[in-house]
Amino acid sequence: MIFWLITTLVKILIIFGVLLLAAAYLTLLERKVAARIQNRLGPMEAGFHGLLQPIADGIKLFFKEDIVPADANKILFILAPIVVVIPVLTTFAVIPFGAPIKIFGHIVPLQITNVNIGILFILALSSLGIYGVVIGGWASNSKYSLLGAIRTVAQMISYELSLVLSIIGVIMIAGNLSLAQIVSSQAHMWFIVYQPIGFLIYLIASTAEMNRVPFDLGEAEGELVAGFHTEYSSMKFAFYFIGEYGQIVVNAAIITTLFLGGWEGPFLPSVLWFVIKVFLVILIYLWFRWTYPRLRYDELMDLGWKILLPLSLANIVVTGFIMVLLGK
Amino acid sequence: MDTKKEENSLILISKNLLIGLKTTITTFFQKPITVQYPRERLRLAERFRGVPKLNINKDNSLRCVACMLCQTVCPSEAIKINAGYVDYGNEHELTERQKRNQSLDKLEKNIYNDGRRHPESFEIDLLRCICCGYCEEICPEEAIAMSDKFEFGFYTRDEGIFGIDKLIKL
Repeated sequence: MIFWLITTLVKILIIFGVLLLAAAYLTLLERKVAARIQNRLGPMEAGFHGLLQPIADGIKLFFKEDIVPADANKILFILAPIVVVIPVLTTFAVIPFGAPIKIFGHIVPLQITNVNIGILFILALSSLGIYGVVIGGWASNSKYSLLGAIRTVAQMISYELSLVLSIIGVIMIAGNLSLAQIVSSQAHMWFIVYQPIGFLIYLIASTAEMNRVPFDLGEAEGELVAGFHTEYSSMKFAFYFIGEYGQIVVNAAIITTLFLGGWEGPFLPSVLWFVIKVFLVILIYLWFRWTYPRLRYDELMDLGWKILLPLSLANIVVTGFIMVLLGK
Repeated sequence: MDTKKEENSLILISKNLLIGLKTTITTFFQKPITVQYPRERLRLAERFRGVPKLNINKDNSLRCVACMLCQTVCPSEAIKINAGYVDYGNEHELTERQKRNQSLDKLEKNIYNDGRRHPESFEIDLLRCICCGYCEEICPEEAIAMSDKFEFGFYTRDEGIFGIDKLIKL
């Protein structure tokens, strides 16, 4: 019992630290990738090739003045950034990041907790992050923030449905909602082979879920100043960023688990395989961001309702037919 | 009607999206074209125009004869010249040419001069200068020329006004 407690605590601490560190260094990676795509060098001053830049940014943000606008709803204003970060950190609890290992004769699964409805847990929590955005936009008492929040709400309606429906194909094939089971059923073949359309839809819809370019309507610098976090400063602003980049890591981990075989892989240690796959998916997200311009509001609605939703429904029907035909 | 349908067809859109991804991935693997400016510098062009500087003779005297042409031609009125006469002092023995110089008669007593002028003060306001090169072009004595210096920083506007000493050193 005590052994279980200690290992769980250690796993939680490791994931907490790694996720926050990854979120910080993802800002650097993003800037570097953006720079290379635009034929620039990116941050080069702080440390070797800008490696200390996230730490410098963190220290700077920590010492900035913490401003709460007049007439803002103070409680909600402080609550909103927390609501963004907590679900992101919690989502990782059910994601298996490595093969079970043996310590002192005990088998320790590299997963904080193996919930048997893991996918539902992820879907429930990842949608919660949006509330932080909406609450923050409303509580700021600023027209730009409010407009950003309203746009985010409208955006949420149009992608959430296809996001959920795109996973159903995977659940049908695996026959299980537990993520550990889904990973082990991909030992022979990754689900991306069976579900290429589901993978694409999830990739696009999760980009929209994270409020990233080309779906960053809620943020929309150039139109809405900075959208929902216009009025935020100091660590509250940093929290939004941690939430945003943490969500990239988490979404990449979900995609890895559901479609790319999780930690399964030959030769290398399982944790390393997981990290490599997550990294590649993150690179795809960054690649999207620096390639595509922002979609207009009605274009996003068209994409969500006229293309992604019918496609994901068709994907489910076709998957079902093939499974019946093959007699699985 | 038909063309509009074609433009919006799903296949065409997806094709264009893929072209966009291809473009960015190719630039990703290209070499960056920017340089780390204060440490790395691009080679300046041979005819690069920085701010103007003053030329001097071999004996360290100014070439400028205070003819005011550059001050006149300067489009941004950056140049300000105070003209004066070259004073040779008491010890100076007048040369033949100087003796025949009519303008000497008009001078005050005890000022030994052959009528040659030189700038008493020569100021260029670098904050006004647009580095157009007109002053260099019009100068009959090749006294003013464009340097290749272009990096300046001042704390006050007065620091931006360079006198003779500073202009020679440019």
